[in-house]
Amino acid sequence: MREQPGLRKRMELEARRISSQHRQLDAFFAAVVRAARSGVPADAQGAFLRFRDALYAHFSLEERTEFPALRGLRPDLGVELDALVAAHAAFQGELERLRLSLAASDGEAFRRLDALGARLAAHEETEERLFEQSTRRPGPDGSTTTDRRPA
Amino acid sequence: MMMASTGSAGPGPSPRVHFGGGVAAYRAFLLRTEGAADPVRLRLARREAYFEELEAERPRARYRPDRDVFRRNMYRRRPEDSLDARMLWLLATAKMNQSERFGVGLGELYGRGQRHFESQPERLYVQLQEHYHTRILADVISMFELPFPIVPPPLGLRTMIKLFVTLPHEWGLPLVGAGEIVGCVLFRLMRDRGVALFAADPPVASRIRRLYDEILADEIGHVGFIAAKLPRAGRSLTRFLARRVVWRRVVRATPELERLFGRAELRGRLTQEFDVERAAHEFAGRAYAAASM
Repeated sequence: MREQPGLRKRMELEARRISSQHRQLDAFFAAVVRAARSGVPADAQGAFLRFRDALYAHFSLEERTEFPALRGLRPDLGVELDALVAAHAAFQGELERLRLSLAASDGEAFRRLDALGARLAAHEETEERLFEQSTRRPGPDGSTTTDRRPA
Repeated sequence: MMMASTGSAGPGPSPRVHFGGGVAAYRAFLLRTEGAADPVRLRLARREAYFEELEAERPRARYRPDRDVFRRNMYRRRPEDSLDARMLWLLATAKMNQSERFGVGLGELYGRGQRHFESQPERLYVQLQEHYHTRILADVISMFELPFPIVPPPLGLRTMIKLFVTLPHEWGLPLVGAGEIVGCVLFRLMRDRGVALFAADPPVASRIRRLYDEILADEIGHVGFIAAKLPRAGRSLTRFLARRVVWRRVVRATPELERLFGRAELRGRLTQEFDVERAAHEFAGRAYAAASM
């Protein structure tokens, strides 16, 4: 594959941007957990709406801007990127179920929060690893990838 | 951490005054009409009471749209030819909500402006009002028991919204102001068409009017607020962007609007001079325009 220094530079920027947005989302998610534990449904709902809207905006940016750029630089990552997009769709269903649980203050809310938190952390880690790998120059054997397990 | 609530309203414009006085008057109006702002719960005290009342009496629409057709068209670039006006109106409402929600989410993600909420509480109120708009538009759709897939706006509008959020506040004002002007015109058109389309179902028509009026009153206030912060050249640029650039992006992103109103009608309405003072007068007591655009 021909070296594309401009795109590689852009990927470095995108990697930093994605990482910074993940930390922001982690903070919003922690606020949802804290609010849910406080036992005040209104607090939990407010924190959840902020987290959800920010997460959807983040997914949109990734799917429409950052992933296509990464696909251009690294066509060999197509399968991993498709899996990440599919995971975004699955998060939508989980978030809706969590919203209903938080609104009803039912016992499922904490279990759903734990599960979502673990899946989100793994998902973020996979994305950051892919972007970090894409910024490396190919080695002598032409390969830069190591682990290929999308969350 | 942002402020938990704002202080007292202090002397502000009388409830019957709806125009002028600049940012300070707008701030006083917001404090008086919205009550305390809670950025953690994303709540405005008085509006929350209003929503509780609305929640208690949500009507179920007699019109039962086809959920599959709705969902399918939410993902389509252009609506299918066979859709009737009511389905087009619902799709337009849902897509406008997706754009609002994308902007709100992006704002949260970038966390811009939060450090100014203490010194400029009106910016917090404006941001919270935008959160309510996503809730209001979702409420409209929920009367028809439709699914709500998350579909981001197309590239042109997405880029524009990203600019709204990422430009430094003062630089972005003309572009944001243009978006608010276009919003005022479109939400009015959508309100009137929605009321007409569902006139045979009075509780639904009445709720559509109420909900869209809530958004309209806020957007009028936002236009006046931005006008008050801009010098003459900035206001001129805002009007230019609204009439020449922004409306095209919005209409292109929501082709249902063109099918509902026709391109000529949309162009005619959206390229007209927008008189924010007159608009505020129409919503006297509920909208406040701090200055003329």
